[in-house]
Amino acid sequence: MHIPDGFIRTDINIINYVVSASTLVYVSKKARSWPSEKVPLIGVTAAFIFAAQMLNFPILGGTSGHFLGAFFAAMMLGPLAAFLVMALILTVQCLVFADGGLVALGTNIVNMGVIGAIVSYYFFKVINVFFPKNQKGFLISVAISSWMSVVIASSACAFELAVSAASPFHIVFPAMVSVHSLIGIGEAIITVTAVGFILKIHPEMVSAWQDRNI
Amino acid sequence: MKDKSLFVVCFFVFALILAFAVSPFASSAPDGLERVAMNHDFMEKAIESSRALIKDYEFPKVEGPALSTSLAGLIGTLLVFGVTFVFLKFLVAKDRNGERC
Repeated sequence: MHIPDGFIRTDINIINYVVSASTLVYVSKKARSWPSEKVPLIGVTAAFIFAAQMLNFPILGGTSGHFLGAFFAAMMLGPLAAFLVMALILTVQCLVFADGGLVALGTNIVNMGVIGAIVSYYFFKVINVFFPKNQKGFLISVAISSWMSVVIASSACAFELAVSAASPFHIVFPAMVSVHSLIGIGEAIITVTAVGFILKIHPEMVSAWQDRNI
Repeated sequence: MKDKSLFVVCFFVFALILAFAVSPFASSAPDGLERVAMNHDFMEKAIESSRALIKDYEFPKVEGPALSTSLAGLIGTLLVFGVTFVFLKFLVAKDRNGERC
């Protein structure tokens, strides 16, 4: 879902740069009060998500998908650190690997950082209310929210593409959402497996589990 | 505490293994956005970036697509860890048990 340059209209890219930068400033201010012993975990979570994003898996129709990891990061680290992780990963991917355009970087950070990590986290908080307060209920919410994170991020992308006249809305929106609904299944499987495993061995490292009653 | 450090180290090593050993086996089919762009005729609008060091996750001047991908993965994983760690080290004060992120 890393958008190259040329797809999105410049004014949308500018707005998204402003949103991304503002969010980054806000998160950086909040980060001053984070416990320093959490820094290595944040670092390795970022490293893991980068690595996992390289592992494209085939889905239908000569298409592949890959892990997004934004919601996974939110489960492990909370929404703000998750945003930071995604913003840094996307920046490295853009500058070093030409994965995602530089002009489009703000848009990619909004789609995969703000929407992918922060919005999906709050979606999770809402739906988690309706499930049992045990690990099983938690993981069901994780599954649904992981799937949803990919679908809404891709919906935002589709909306941006349509406004940019890359493709008409009635074509690009169903196309993006349908393919990402499939990819989202992969996201859910990977996220539930990873979070479920970490919950078994080190539940205290899963921030969203620790905060489940908040 | 020691147990947590072990977890963090193992998690990092796992990430490195994925990036180095598994990435060459990843599917090279176009991803969701690329597929939609190709199917609906806007792929050609894409502007290629010229500046990147390890373009498209292919480490330059290395023989074989597998090794170039592996090295790209390895370097990228280390770099992402380093960038995140350094970025936070400037911000997060020592010896504070502040609010959870």
